[in-house]
Amino acid sequence: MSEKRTRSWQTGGGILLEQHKDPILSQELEQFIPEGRVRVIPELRPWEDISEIGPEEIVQVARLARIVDERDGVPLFRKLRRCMGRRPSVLVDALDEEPYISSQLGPMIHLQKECAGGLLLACKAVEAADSAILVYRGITDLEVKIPRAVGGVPVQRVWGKYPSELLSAQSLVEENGHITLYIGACALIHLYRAVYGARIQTTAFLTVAGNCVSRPCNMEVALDTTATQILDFCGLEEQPTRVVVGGSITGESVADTDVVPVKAVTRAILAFREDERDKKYQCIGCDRCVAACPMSLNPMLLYKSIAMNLHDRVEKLDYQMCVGCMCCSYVCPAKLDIAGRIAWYRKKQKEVRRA
Amino acid sequence: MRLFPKKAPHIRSDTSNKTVMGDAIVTLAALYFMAACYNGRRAVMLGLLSIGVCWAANTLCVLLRGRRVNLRDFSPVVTGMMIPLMMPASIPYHVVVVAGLFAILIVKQPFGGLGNNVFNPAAGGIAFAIACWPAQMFLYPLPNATLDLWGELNASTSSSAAYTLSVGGVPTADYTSVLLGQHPGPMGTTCVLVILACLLYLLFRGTARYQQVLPFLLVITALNFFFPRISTDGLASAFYEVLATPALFCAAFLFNDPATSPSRDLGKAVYGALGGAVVFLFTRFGGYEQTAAFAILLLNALCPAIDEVAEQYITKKRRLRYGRKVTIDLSGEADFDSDPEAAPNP
Repeated sequence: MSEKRTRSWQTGGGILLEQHKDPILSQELEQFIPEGRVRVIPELRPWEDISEIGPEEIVQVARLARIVDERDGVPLFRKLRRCMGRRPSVLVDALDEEPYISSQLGPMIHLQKECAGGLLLACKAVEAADSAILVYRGITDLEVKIPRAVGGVPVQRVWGKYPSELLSAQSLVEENGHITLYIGACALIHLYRAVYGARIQTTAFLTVAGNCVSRPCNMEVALDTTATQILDFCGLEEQPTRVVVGGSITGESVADTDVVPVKAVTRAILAFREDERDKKYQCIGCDRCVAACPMSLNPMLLYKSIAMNLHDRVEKLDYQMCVGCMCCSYVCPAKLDIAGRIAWYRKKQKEVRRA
Repeated sequence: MRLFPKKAPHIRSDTSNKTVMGDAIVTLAALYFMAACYNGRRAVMLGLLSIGVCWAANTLCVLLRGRRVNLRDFSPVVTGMMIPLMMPASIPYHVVVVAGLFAILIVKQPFGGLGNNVFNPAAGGIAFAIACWPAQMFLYPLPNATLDLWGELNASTSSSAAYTLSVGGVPTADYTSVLLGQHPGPMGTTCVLVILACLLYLLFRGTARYQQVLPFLLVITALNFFFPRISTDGLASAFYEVLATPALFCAAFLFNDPATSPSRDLGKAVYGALGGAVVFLFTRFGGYEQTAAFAILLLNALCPAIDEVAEQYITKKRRLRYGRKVTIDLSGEADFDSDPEAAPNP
């Protein structure tokens, strides 16, 4: 079904990344949930079978359980509500294409029953035309086997280089009159728990990894736990120079781990120690960024045009189509901050327009 | 734990300018090794001198512009290594010095230096040397004639296969000697097998792009196959014209300079094909026996135009493609307490 649609994300750009997902993905999920953090929806009697619950009730349970889709930070009930009765295709995001991170794929593999059950509930709520679970095909270093189907729902290996996930980042896409709804795998697990156990979402799934972490793993963590607590739980081999919350490519480097709480959208906490020497070079026009850009932009020309204040030229080069995947900065042999400069320019232009 | 926030992306690829230039240096060093085997230490000495001149000139220009000298910038080393390889091993040292100075001081730095040069510096230097000293540039020592490091050279010299071809003759070297580089010619361009290995390495590493090299080689081979200028069959013509002249060396090194190539794959393909045709025409109708350097300079001048056209085409395609998708905005909806879209209670 959506094979063609999912394939059409890729335009030939993008980069192949070493995934570094194992051994984290092969291990069972760890838990870091202090006593008393599991909460239930008061006065809600859990359902026992999917046939007993109607679409409207599923949406309401998603609201009462305060489930946030880790994919985009939008409450799950809003997404379901938008699609009710419109017979969308429901695609489950278990892509995890950024290196180190497997915080959707891991729970999908280890909590298959809950994930598939949640998907059936979501499909019932929106009267889905079809559904599939998306897994990134570029993961080559796996020891664990990815199932071909989970609870009767096919698992589709999405071909593509990084950033196929980011390109689909808009969670609701309308193309030729057909709607495609993307839901994160973890949100579905929380939906399953809410419907069959009346549980409120008080946890998030995340990956803890990096070259300083002594026990890298996938974890289920209570919301609002700080990055320091999580790093202490997993152990640090040495003092990191960079702690990243989010993705290894697009995530945010934090200044103080004590004040960074885990949110529903937190996908990973990564601690790296690296060579601090200045490695900046000059652009040699190697065109690696141009080949890597998934939106077929010309990052090198954008970078230079922004530096020279050539606004018309930057406009012509479609800078606003940049999706912020940072492929250009990743591949740049001169280690230039290409994506950063384009993002800065976008932000500046937005402010100018608002003023 | 307090830290300094760093810019994303938090992981970077292993390739750096140093490794890109390193690839070129490693492959060029292999050619110097072959040149040293055939013509002795003088080949290496020419290379070292050229590197020294190019590096010193480059550093001087960087200092004059008030910039900090980056010791990890190996681009003048690559330029310096390329220049003598297009010359005979018997070339007087002053020719190499002047060619190196011309390459850096006239062709590279006035345009803004590394990454901004319009013309390939090495091609510029070689073209200048050919224009100034054609007699010395086109008289080659025989292979296996070990040359003295200093002083008057008394090794026997000969003309190259390119010259024989230019006057309509068939080169005397057989296929094996051509492949092994056992014929007189510029010191780095004769060992075809080694150059091919270097080219494969560069392609594999992504330093050279097949989108540009393949059309170049295909077009130049096809044109020489169908329009031979010597009285042999097309196959022999294509073989000698591509492998016994510096065409292959140019395809692997001079023509592949990233700064003077189009940035889009489409542009690269057009540029490569056009390059093959231009080199063919220059060889056929040019005044010298070795005109690839001039052809490359002309092509370099066309590069921005090709780039512009390719960019416009890709932009058009991109806008067509992404104009069709409509995304429904879900932002600003992180509110659980109200459900405005819910059906009202009866």
